[in-house]
Amino acid sequence: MAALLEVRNLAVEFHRDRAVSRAVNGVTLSVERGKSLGIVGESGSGKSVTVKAIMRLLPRYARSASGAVLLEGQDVMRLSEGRMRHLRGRRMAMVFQDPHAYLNPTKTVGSQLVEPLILHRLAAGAEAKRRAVDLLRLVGIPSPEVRFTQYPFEFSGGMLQRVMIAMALIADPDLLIADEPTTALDVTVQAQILRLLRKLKEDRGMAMILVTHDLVVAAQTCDEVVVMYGGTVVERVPSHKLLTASAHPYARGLIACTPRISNADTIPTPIAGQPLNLREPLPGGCLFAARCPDRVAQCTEVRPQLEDVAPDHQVACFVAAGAAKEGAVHE
Amino acid sequence: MVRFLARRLAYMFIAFLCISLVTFMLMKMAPGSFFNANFQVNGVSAVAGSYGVSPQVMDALIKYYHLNDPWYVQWWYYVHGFLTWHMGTSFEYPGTRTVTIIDTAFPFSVRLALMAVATGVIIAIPIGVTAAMRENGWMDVGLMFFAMLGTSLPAYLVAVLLIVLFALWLHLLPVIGFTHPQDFILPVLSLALPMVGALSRYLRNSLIDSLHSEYVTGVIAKGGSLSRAVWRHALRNSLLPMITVVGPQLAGLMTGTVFIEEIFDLPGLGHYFVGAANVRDYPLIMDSALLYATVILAMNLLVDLTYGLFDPRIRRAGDLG
Amino acid sequence: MSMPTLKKRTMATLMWGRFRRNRAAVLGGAFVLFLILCAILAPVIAPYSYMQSNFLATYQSPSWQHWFGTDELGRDMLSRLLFSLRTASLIGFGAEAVELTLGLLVGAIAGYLGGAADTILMRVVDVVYGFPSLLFAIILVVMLGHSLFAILIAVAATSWVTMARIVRSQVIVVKQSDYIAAARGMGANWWQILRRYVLPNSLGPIAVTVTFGIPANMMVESALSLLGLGVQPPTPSWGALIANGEQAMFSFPYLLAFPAVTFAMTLLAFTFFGDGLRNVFDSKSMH
Repeated sequence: MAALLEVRNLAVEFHRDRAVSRAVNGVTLSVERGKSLGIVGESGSGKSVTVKAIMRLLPRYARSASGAVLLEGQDVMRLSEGRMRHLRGRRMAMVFQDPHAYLNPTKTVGSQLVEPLILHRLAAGAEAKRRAVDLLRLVGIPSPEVRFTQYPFEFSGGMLQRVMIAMALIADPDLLIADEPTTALDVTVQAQILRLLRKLKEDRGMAMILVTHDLVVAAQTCDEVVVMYGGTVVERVPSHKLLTASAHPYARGLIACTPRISNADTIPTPIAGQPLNLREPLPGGCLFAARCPDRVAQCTEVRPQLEDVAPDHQVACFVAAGAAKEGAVHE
Repeated sequence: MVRFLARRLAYMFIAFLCISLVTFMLMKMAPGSFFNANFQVNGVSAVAGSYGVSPQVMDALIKYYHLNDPWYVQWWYYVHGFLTWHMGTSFEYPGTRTVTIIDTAFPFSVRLALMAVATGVIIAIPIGVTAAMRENGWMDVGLMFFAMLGTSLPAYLVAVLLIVLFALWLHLLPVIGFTHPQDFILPVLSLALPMVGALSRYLRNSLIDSLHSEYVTGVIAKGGSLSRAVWRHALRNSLLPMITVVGPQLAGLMTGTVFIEEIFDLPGLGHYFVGAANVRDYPLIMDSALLYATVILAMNLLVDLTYGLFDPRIRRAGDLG
Repeated sequence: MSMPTLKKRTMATLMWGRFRRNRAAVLGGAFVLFLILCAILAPVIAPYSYMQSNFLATYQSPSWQHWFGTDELGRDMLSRLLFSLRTASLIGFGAEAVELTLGLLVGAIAGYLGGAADTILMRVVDVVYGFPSLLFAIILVVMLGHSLFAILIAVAATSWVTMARIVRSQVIVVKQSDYIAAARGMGANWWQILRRYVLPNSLGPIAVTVTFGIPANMMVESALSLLGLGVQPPTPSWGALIANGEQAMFSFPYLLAFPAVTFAMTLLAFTFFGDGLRNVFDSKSMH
């Protein structure tokens, strides 16, 4: 089946104050209809920039140096701003990290909720309101008629994130991108929101990209996960294998420093060294080489590319790929 | 909100009392003022004579202004007269009570000021929006340069420059008269342009702040255009703080009308005020000054109040309280 | 003791570098300097006396003899403009000095002492802030007369409160910072603290306020003389020249154009200069 969204070798640079920051350095990923993809990584790994680049929501000083973002084969990077507007909110919609910041504080939630319908000429007036209220009910907001006329500041964070989800879904998009949708929320609310997202994705048969720094969340919510480091994808792995069988040293390092119930008695070990400084020229070899415990000589000379280590499982690491090949030979 | 309002009202009242006290004192101290006269009972007729007023009228005036009472009683009658709109009699226009002059001239000034505010806001909004949407582009830089010119020049100088440009050089617009609508173009523009400078600069900066904020990204993510984000979302939020800029501008505008009326020979209160100042028509000076002051104070208060209307957080809090 | 001076010098160099990049501000500053020189040297550089009339040369258009033409009495407009610049500068800088003194005094005392002194002084400031300044100036001039000193007082009478507010807020910010606590710990008294720490740190905003205050004062002065309430003839003043030019504007437009345009340029120069200054100090405080 052809992918709904395919990102090929995407690179993004920020040019500001005569300095260049290389936020994304060649990301390749894809999502199919009805499937969900998790993007995980530390802060500054380029995951949020990647999804904003897909929606073309980056500030003006950002340049997409190379690559393609194909939505059903059509490259959105080459579209005019006007054509792009037809896609945003209608074909692909986004849920952001902090719902209070991403809603206009001086307009009612309802008027902002129906905006995608009006912008894409899908409905207006009473019909738009009816659909919005129905959707508010669907995402679990009590007394939606009352809530419709309230302002953002009258909502709790969790309730407002439900509103954001309803707003993203109202024009029935093919792709829902959720950029750290639960980071700003309480843990209990977090679980509810994630369950809601997963359920909505299944009911509606849309594709979903979930950006998170929490590997456990990604593993539980998504079908497949890509791990990013320094603006590149270092591993692509089916989510059921993420926590147990990830191959890249960085991914394993992340898992080792994630506290979990199953390993509650072991102290999480942080990854040694500092995250990559994206303002300096990138190293020639593997971007993770400086912090990598498994580093070999080749790592600092040649940039590893994604290689298959198992079905649907790819790693950009010479050591891990070599080990997998050896394993295959031994079998 | 209520406490805030009460405090503002109290300030306004104190400021009013101070201004009235200062004007009253100055009026008493002023050389040649007949208020002086009551200090030297014998001097009354002499001073009255110099104004061509008969002793009988002078007696009446003394009684009217309570000149034989202590100063605070006189002051009280002065304030009381103003508050109840029963002011004194003009010197320059004998027999005409100042309130009569004010009644006809003041509405004219207010109309002029209101036209200027409306014009200023109407011009400033598209300028601010255009500049903000092309942040740091040549259009933005150019527009803001002209806005800066506006902010640094007072209305009367803008008036003179406009006269030089439109009337003397291009022969496009009339300078004298107040009967045809086109007579008002230059006066209104002179008052509006300095405002436009401050307003559009403020609006631009405030809009740019908004355009960099996340909720605008949210609008774009929904499929909205930049101009929708500006007109439907950001502008509304930026107009709120703009009121705080319009406020002080309004005060400047009221004083601006004084000069504009003088330059364009318009029959507003400013015109009479200046005339009164030149011939030392003290009752008219004081009453119109006090009126101007009151209007300016009231406008400042109004600005504070409207601020609340635009912010739903304040409005809702008001509902609860 | 060489350390602080070194640091001061680098800071000044840094700020100068930032200021120099703002072309409008540099131009404005240069023009302001030029104006000040003209005002000081007016008696020397003016080609004619500002009050010497010449009935054989009335209403002369601009020429090599009279660059800006002559007025209805045959007086040289360039000379009159130079001397109105002198008047304007006298009032502009003089009133600013009064405002600065009063504002520093009231603001520093209110900010530093706090408590009841602060409350009382700031209430006074609030009330004066509510005064319509230009009207108040008019009333004062009507009462006090048209002497240079009276005008100076009338101009400064209400505008000092802006300075007082700024000084007070600066003083409070600096007062609450840790190094003041350290200085006090070392036994410095309040006057030493005020002079050594508070005032040097408040210099930026004060300098900006002064730069914007001077043209504002000039505006009030010329506004007064526009209404015939300014300095008395024959002493020339921009406002009077403009009012005069307006009388004859249809026949002799240059009589209006020159004073209006030069006055506008003067005000603009101050504004651009002040704007550049503000940017410099703003970015300094951001670091």
